Amino acid sequence: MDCQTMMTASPHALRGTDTVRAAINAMLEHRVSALPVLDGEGRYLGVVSVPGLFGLALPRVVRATTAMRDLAFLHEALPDIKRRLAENADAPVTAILQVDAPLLKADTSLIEAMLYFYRGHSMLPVVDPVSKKLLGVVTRVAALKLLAERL
Amino acid sequence: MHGNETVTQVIFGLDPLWASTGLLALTYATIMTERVNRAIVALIGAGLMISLGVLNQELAIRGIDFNTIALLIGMMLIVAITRKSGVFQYVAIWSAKLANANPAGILLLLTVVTALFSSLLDNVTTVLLVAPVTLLITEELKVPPYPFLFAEIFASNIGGTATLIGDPPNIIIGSAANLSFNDFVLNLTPVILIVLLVQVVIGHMLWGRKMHASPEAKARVMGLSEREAITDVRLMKQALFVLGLVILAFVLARFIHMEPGTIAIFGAALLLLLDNFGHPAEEQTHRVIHAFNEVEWITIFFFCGLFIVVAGVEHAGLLRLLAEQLLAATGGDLSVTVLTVLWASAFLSAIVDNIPFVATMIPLIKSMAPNFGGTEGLLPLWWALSLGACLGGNGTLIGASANLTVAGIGDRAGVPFRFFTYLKLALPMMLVSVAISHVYIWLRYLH
Repeated sequence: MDCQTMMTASPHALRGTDTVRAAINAMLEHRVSALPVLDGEGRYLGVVSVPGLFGLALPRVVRATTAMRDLAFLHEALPDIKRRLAENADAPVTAILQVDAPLLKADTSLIEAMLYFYRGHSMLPVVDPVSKKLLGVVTRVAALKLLAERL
Repeated sequence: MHGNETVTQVIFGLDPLWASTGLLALTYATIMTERVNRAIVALIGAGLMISLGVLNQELAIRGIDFNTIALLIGMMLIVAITRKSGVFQYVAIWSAKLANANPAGILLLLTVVTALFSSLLDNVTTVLLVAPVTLLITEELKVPPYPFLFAEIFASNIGGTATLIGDPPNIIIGSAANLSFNDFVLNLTPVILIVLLVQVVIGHMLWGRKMHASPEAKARVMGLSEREAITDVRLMKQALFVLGLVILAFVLARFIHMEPGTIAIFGAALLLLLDNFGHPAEEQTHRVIHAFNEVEWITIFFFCGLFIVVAGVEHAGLLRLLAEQLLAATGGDLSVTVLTVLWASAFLSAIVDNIPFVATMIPLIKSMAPNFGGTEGLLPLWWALSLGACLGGNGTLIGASANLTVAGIGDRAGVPFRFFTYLKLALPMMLVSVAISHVYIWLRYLH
């Protein structure tokens, strides 16, 4: 069995020129925690995810190093955190584009996709290796539904 | 020198001098390209030095300075455990608040704090601790972070020069020349204080006096809670107790007859004991593995390999030859030799890694002892080597590991460090620091 079994074809996708604000709205509207990003010709560019968006609401240094183990000393409340996100809301989504997300092919095995979900990915893009066009996405919810059938 | 000992057969009948020199040059060149990890390069170089027959295994192992290796591992362990407590972040935030969130005051205090940390900790560790908090504070203040990060690079290399344990070249020099913690403090700390003061003044003139922050931004920094940066009060107390004990032992090393390597490893073991005491055996295993994983094994194996490569050229007689050439060039005059070593070390350390450079220079300087009235006569040369090699690292972005570490953090945080932009300011500032050292050495040891 390969990952095509649980793939959502023609998923909602963002354009590289879309803003962070547009990404937030799309995620809330489609109730997903990650979206693929495509160029003008439909070629896959990367993934934008909720953790990436949260990164924009945190001090920049958090994205630069792993040294900040704790931020309790910052004493920030919701308005401070929202202020930081608002400063970045009109930036293009490419600012937080995750380009190293694992890519699946239509015939990638189910067990390999499961491994990526186990490692924390919530959505995996399925990309044609030659044309780089996005064929669909596989989500961990889809995988869970498949596992739950006749369990 | 091991010159009188049995030399193994060098393969293909090669001249050991040429074979070892070629290997040293190849090792240096490959390290400089940064295409292959430096630990791999040094270990391959060491392996080839033995395979070619320049050294046998016994001579190679004897070439490794285990006092240096133990000191590095011990201090890395102590710092790795201590940093978990959040004490270093506490000091950085406390400094920012002490300056009333005034950018110029923060620049000054973070420079001094970096230099102070760096005199007790490894430079890279220091900047890894200070740079992230600096980025956070400058973001809150909405002031450019570059001047702060630049000043911290300089302060880490300057502060590290002040003590035996502050910078790896000093650790190697101290161990090889039998110089104590106190020797370094008494001979190098005075000039380092002057160099640091000059750097602080330059930093203030260039940046500090022109930086301003809004009252709201200052209020955000003043709202930071340094107490909440401490994540483990018990560990902080244990770590500061052990760190204090280790530094006291360094100071009293001559009286208690302990080498720095022993003190550092003993201190690390004591801190591990305190940190693990009362925890179940399985959890202790995880905690100890975690602490050991924090040791920079790349640096440790790099040192081991490098010591063997240098032992090879030393054994083959290259360093004696170079020492003779240097003495001939300086006419055997101590003052000229000392100042040549100072400036040459500074320029070379700005280009090449100062660790292999110092490791090569040590046996070379040692072999000059007969010309300068024995080992006592070499003292100014050791201080010149240390000051040149450590301060020289500030000259270029690739001159020291701390520079590249800060540049890496800066790049990821959107504060780009460009080679020539850095060079334009750093090189003159480095030359000023070496000129101060020149005057100091001349007045104190050569006048």
